[in-house]
Amino acid sequence: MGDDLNHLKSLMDNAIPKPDAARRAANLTQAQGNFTALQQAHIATGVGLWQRVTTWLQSGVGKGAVTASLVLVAAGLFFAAPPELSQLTAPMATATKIGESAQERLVADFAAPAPIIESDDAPVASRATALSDQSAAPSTSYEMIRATLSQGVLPAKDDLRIAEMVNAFTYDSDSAETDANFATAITRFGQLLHDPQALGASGYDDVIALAQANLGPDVSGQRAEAVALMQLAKDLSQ
Amino acid sequence: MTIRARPITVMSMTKSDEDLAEAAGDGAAFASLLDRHYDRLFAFCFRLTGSRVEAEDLTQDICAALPAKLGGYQRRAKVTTWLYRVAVNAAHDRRRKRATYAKATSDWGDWEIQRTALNQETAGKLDWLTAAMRQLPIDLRDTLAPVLDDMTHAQAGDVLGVSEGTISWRMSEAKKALRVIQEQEAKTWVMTSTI
Repeated sequence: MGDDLNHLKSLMDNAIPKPDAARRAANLTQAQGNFTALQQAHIATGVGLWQRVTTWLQSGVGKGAVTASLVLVAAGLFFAAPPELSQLTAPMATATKIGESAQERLVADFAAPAPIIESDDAPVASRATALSDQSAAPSTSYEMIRATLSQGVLPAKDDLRIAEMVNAFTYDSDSAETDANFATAITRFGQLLHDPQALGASGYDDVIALAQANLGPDVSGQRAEAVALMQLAKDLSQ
Repeated sequence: MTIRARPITVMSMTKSDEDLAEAAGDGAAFASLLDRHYDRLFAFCFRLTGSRVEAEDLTQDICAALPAKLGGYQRRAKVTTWLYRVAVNAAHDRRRKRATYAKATSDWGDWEIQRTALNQETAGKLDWLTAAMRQLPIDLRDTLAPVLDDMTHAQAGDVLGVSEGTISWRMSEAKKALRVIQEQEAKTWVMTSTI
């Protein structure tokens, strides 16, 4: 290696600190939680986001990555309790029937070549998105955003198509004004995903309020889900 | 239809990393894999950034995103090579973000904070390391990270996505640059000591 480098190497080796034990533990928990969430997203293709987000929270990821506001949103659905095996296994049990084919899909993912990792400079988020899409194959920008955010990652700008986001919703409430307002909220959400500062300091709060006020009947729950995603994006971009 | 009980995999230490990485369907295997490599990954992040704070944040980013990347793992690559590669990409990402939002900080930049806790002699050595690393261009720093971690030039090339020859060339550039830095220091020392 040569004397010059040996000197540098020994300096470097001595300079390396020990990782913080608490963060080490938290990071490992988060990684395993994300792993579980991703795996369940693979298995439960077609399952609504709520289930994914709540399972993800229950599996402990929310503690580190996402702060109070999402927990508050989620509190509407269940009490913030420590993850219990029964809660975690419940969605797995319902997925048992399709479990086998999902496993095969995972194996297939492995066998597939991995151009995503090979490409050097693509942002982490877009690579994560591309990977997460392999089996769920979301067809629209909004589905990609949903899949990425539910993994705790902000979507890459390349994945954002505001028109597709707006078109992902049905607009059939009784009030045309409500629908128009909600569409506006989604448009602004897209702008904020491009740049969190695009609409001033209270950007996300304003958009969330606008969307919340224009849910309409929201029979499918897709609008409420969008509000939850906005909260998530707000937390992640802080 | 009978529901088969899922066999519980016992994670013995005899399992190879590559076995664990391929068992991507198993959360315990994944956790075991990451736990095994965490300290080395953190150390590598430090080599890339020269900052404890940055290394902690970078490691956290990687851990959070790693499950999604596991699908891109291929058995022909060593797990460390793959992990380091993910780390290098994540480090580039952080640099880019920082360049966008706040131009002020750079890697090997917050050294003053770290050295306050150290004794003078150690601090002096670290100063030299920091000063030297800061004078090197980023691609040379990135090249030094795996090479000083005892990787071969071929492995370092895999990590950085360049050829072995490129690594060798960059290493000779790094050596040249380090020699110049040392010579300049020697001159400065002579000048200050004769005043």
